Amino acid sequence: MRASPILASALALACCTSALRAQTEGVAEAFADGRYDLALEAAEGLSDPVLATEWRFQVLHAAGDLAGALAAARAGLALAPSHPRLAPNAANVALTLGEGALALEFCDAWQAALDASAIAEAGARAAELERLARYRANALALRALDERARSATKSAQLVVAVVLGGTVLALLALARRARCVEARA
Amino acid sequence: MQRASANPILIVAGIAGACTMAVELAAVRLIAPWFGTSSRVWTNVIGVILLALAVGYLLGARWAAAPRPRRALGWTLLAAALWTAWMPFLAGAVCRLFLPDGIGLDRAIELWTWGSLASTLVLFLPAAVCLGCVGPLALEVVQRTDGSSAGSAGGRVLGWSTLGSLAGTFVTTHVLVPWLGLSWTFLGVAGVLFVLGAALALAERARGAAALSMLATAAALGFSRLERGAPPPGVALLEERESCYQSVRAVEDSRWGEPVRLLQVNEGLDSFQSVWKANAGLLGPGYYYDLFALPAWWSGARGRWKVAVLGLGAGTACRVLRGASPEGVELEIVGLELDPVVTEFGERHFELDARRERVIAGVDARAALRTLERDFDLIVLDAYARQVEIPFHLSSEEALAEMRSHLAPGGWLAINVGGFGFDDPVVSALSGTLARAFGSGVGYRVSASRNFVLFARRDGDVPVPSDARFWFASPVGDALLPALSVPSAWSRLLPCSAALALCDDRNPIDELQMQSLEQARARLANPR
Repeated sequence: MRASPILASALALACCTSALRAQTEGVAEAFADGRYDLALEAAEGLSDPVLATEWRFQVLHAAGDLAGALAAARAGLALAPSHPRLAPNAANVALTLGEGALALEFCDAWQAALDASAIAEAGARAAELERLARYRANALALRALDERARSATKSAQLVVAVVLGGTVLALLALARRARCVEARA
Repeated sequence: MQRASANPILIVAGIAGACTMAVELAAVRLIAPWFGTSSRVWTNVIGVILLALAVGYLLGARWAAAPRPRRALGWTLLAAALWTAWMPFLAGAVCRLFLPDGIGLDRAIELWTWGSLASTLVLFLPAAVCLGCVGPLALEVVQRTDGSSAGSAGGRVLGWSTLGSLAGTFVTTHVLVPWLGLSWTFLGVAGVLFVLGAALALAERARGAAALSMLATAAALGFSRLERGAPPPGVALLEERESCYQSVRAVEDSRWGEPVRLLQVNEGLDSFQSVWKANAGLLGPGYYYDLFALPAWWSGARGRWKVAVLGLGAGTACRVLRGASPEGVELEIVGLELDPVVTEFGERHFELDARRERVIAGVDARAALRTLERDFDLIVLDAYARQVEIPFHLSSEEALAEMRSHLAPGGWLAINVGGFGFDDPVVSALSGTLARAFGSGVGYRVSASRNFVLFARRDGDVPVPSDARFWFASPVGDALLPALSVPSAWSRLLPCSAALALCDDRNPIDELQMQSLEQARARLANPR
């Protein structure tokens, strides 16, 4: 479960000021050392709140706390809706958690972020769009599964109401008839 | 004038009673591949059968007033035979209608309740109504045959029918289902009912009904089989069997590269009871078994390390411990497993070495624990009933105290529990109870899974990430400790009040489990 050093470096390089870079290196170092507890603490101290949530997402995701990671990604998206990495990350986690409708919302945010971004290189853009399409297809499949589950529940409830209701009515009718026959006898 | 003997009809009543119990007990097993065998499913099945019997009694009482009750008895038995014969064939189609393929555990809760009730009504109500008719019709025939009083005839019919039910209960659980399997159990019951019904119908010259029903029952013999559905592409079925307790199957999943073998019971869904990978040792993120290796590392174990696994399954815990324990540790493992078929599967498909491990199969863990030594360094509680919950008699404060008494000083208890957070109803109830039994403890969330491992020690503390002794240098530590170190991954266990503790006298663990799944489903429906 140790973090990939390449990933850690990439995040460290993402910050622009030298002060922030120094802070981020602290997080990256703890993360790369497998001290996720210290990495989280250090991430809380970052002066850039979006970067802090991005690191929080990264650490919690690596720790397998998917619900926590999702919450971090959502907090980040609230601060920076067109952030290029938070929406794909959130969509990925939502898919892993089986939350299709939520994943679709993040796919929409991702699409908006891509539309607003200035990815100049055509190949990179095409790769992102292809990844987005794959995620969206998975999210739609999950949402369809939810709908099937809901529809199956409704069918089951209908069958129960009809058969159980019919049986109880038959039972009452038979009991009443038996009483009438006895009374006549 | 000498009256005819009513004994043949009493025998019919007895056999019909046996068949009723066979259908009732096997009914739960028939729908178990989709809905499991939770207390809700049992309640639904028992409730529907009782309702059907009530209808059958009244219907039988009405037909008993007709001029030829013996003929009506023959027809009802033939109708019951026919419906019973086609149950295995219908089960897959009906259950899949109410529980579509691909639904995960957290979405399935509502369908377990409504789907199992709907399936039970559709599948079992008609046959049970027919079987319910047998009692009053038999009573009437007995009364008319030997001229006995209503009380005498009723007493004898009830006596024979209840004795038959008693025999049906034991034979179904211990002979029919394990040895014949579910399909042939239903077909066998249908065959018996058909023979009885046909004999009565022929005696009453109802040849047409007998012939028609024979054709339909014979067709069922050829086609009516329970189909659980083929595994998805990339998943191979290794073996499938019915045991006394459950439907058991071993599959090999190669969809994600490295082949993984899974032991699934009953409904399967996305859960499993044991797992196997080619290399012994840690299984990787998402598998709670890996955390069972930690106590030996945290204790700095050397030499003999004695482990009891309550709920051995196919032996995954042994395989993880063998591959991930500190060097120099000599493992001595005792494994207790209720279902012998599961350990047989373990030996055949999961590399469970029954010569190296002391495997005790066919025993209840709590009862068998009392016969074991009192010097275990680690007791692993990984027993599950009805797929999703720790059995109530193993999760009580008294049971946990018994486990504590079987630990050596400083020994560890590790409990695998499924849940969705430390505030999950099951996790928090068991955590509080464990802390009451041991004084303290620590729970760890298993990375990327819905499992938690609760640790407690006899006369000792469980390390937490802020302790230096939590951290140890080894590939096992590198793999496990970082994920456990984040604040959301662990929690100290605090004793709950006596009123909330799970105990032998009051243990609502199955209801808590349902609450847990309902909460998870509500979170899915409304993630905000």
